Amino acid sequence: MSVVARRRRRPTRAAVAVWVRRLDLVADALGKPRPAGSASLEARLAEAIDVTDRTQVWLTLAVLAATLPDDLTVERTAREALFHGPRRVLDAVADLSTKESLEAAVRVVTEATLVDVQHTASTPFATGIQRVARETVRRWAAAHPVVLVSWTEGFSALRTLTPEEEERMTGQSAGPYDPSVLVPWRATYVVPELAADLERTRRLLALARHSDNRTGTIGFDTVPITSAETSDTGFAGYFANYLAAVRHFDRIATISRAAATEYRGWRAMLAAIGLPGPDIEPVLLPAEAPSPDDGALASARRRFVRDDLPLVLCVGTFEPRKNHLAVLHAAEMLWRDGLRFSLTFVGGRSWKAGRFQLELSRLQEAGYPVETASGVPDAELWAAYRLARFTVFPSLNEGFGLPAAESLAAGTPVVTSNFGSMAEIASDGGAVLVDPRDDESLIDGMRRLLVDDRLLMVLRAEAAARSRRTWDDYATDTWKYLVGTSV
Amino acid sequence: MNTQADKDVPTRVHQRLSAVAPVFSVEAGGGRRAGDLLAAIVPVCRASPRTAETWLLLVALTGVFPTEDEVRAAVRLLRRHAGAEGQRDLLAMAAAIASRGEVSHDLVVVRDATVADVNFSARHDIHTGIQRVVRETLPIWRDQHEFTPVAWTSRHTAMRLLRPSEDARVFRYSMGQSPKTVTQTGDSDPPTIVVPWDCVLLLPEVPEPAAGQVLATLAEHSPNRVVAVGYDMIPIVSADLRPPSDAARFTRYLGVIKQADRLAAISRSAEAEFRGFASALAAQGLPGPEVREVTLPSAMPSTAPVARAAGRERPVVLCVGTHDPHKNHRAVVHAAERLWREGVDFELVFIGQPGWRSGPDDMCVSGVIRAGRPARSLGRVPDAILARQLTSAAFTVFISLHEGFGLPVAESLAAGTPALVSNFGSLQEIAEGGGCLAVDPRDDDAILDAMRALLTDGSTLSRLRAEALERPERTWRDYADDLWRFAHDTVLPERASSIAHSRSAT
Repeated sequence: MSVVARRRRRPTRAAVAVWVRRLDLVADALGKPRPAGSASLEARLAEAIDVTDRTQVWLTLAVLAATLPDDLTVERTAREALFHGPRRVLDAVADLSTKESLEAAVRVVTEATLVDVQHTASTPFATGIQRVARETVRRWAAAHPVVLVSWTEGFSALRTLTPEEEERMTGQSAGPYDPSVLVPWRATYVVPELAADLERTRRLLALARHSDNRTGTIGFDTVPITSAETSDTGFAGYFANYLAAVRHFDRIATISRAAATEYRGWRAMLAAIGLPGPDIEPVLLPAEAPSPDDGALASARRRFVRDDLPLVLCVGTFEPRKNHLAVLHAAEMLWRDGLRFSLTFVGGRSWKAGRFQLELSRLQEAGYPVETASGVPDAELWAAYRLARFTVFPSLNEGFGLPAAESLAAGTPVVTSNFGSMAEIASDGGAVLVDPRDDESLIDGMRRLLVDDRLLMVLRAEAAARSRRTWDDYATDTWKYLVGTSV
Repeated sequence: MNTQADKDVPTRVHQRLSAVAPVFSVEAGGGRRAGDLLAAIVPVCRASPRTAETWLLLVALTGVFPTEDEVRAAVRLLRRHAGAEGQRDLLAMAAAIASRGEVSHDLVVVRDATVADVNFSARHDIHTGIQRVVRETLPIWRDQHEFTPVAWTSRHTAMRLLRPSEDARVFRYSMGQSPKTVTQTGDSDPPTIVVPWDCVLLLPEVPEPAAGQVLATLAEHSPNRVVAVGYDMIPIVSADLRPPSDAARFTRYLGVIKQADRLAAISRSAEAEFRGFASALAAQGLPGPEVREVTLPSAMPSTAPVARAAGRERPVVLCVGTHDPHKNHRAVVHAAERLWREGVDFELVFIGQPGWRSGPDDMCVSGVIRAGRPARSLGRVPDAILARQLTSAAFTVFISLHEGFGLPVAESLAAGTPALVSNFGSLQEIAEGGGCLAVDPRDDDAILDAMRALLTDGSTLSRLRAEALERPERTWRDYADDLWRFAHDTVLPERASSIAHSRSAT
């Protein structure tokens, strides 16, 4: 960011009038009398705020410019205001303002809970993370007064949701559309999804650091840093900027104890920069696999069951971290040993799926009963879990191994990894644990569930006896931790 | 690939298989052809419960260090197929892997010894923090120990022996005198690749991201003890102050650290960072490296001692460091301006080149220079000038927001000049040894008060100067000895240092 001064045009009379009106909101938020009558904007500003106080500068820039400032802007503005007075704050307001921001309706939201669902609300599709955000926020919104928010174009400010977005998140529209820019103040601000857009995280960092708000987020995993070799490394820069923002947050609810281990490892690094970092507590995700109706069961049987072969199911996107090549190898070795079963992968192509596709084709050409299924509806997937003899999920790193948990919720045993969130899920019973980096261990685990009917029955009984954790439980627990109790 | 190199391929494959044959207890002499050697080696790989032998066979067949999925694929292939079918499939796979390399190389296996990867220092004339550590430490080792320094082939496909010019750049470096040619391309005479086996492989640099994947694979699958020096986690922890591409590059390095056996952190603070990373790996069932603090020395730049000039009229406040946002130079300039406005008389001098988001004319100090304040920016300077500035300054200011070590502070104190530093992390550690004032670098008023005290309160300054001279000296030889021992000791002692200031990960 260059410090070479931009040539600044004199603000129009209309712009000044907007800022004068918005300054009243700043004074209200700070609990001060609104600045008096005919004084200049500069004099009013000097009356309303301490221009060297970074918290007040943050609020003033956010409200007057209808734009959330970044850290550097807050710091520079407060420093320059020390030498040059409120004029520099107004210069910064002018720099941040655009035609759109001058026209926006601005509301300061105090003593409320704002829930930032930008990504989840923007699409009807649902990745794992968006599914968590949607299930959780829907329940929060039904039980508590919350303000759902998204971001304006270019991530410059928070705004109310459109009716369409509102409906996506809550299942009902909130009524007439009230497009406003929102500035949280002495409020609770929660991000239940992964915020990894650079502009969004830069402004979130300043919000968490300088503003007078409580902040919380859901921590899913740190895979882009700790298992970068299994994902697109380009993403690491965005993820690291998300971490930079949340190091100033108050609380992170991680989706498993394993994810808490990852986030606490990251927090330990913050000693190097003299920051304590947020509180971190695991709030375990639920996994539901409701009983399918007869129709779904029949259609799943047609789609997934081959002849009289026992079905082995492997659910998850086709990417190296899921270790599908090890599953293919184990299956081939077991078929060569004369064991009879079919293997079905349910998931979509993802990053670097090429080698998996090649091996899959080779085995299919050799006549082995292996296939993939994509775009499977939930009900059919839940039916497939029930039709499978067992599932296999030897992933190398998971914030929460959803397919393992869903399989067990459906009463079907799973062969999964002997560490992290997968071992955590397995600890309530129903699973065979293997070392996913050791092919022989995986082969052995799968073999046992193919040949040992007694073991299978024991694990089925264990799975059926597991206590059921619901989305209602999860929404209640996360609300309590992120919003309900004071920090 | 040129035709000349193509002609050489079968010969070189034969050379490489012969070179690795003894590891498999396979007789290489007596005119045995490549096919015979392969047929003898494959059963050893198949019979081994570990993946190491297959890793080595792939290196020999291809002249290229394989990736994780290549090793796994080869292991599985050999499990599935015995005999000629397996060998045929393996050769097809090897041909695909070999095409990553530019040319075909000869190979030497280094067994039960020490190999040090000094790729960057060997190939570039840059001489900042990490290259300094390499060029000070390795010459000391060469006097006392046997080891093989290596660089990487031009496409980062394998480690190789150094060329004479590269050896000179590492072991006899002096600024402005070493060869200027940077050997990045054109391995016209293919250098011999080096394959460590049962070795200590030292990584005193941050390896090239392009080599990260195959190096991580070596660390996971080969029977070598990989020992890295850990500098800092700036690209991850302070990502907001660095370009996003830094973090992407750095995670490739973390992929290596994840599989490494030991990590020598350059400070207690860096130790806390790498321990944090290692503890996060529990979530994926990995132990991570054993992390210990092996503190860098605090010595002057290696140059003749400089006599302290007698009482200058206007005290100089010196700030050494690249103009990167995390160095927090902006806060120094802000405090200086406040002091000038108070009427305090001093000169502010910056040494260091422009960094991210700053050009030569729009650094944070440019504004006060243009405004006519007594401030100067000297840019990057030779060691002799740095030493002179360090010695003649009233004090130095280094209130960085994130440092692995803080070399300029160590050098300032070694020159007997007090330093104003940050009150956390590695800078706080240095301050504990005396000669420093430590302040919260995020608190403008605290910085102001400390600088004012150092400029106006002669007793504080002379007390700190006396402390600086009293500091126990830690030399490059101390560091070289400690690092060598850390890398080679069979069992590591319990941690000597306490990291009570860091938070537990449990």
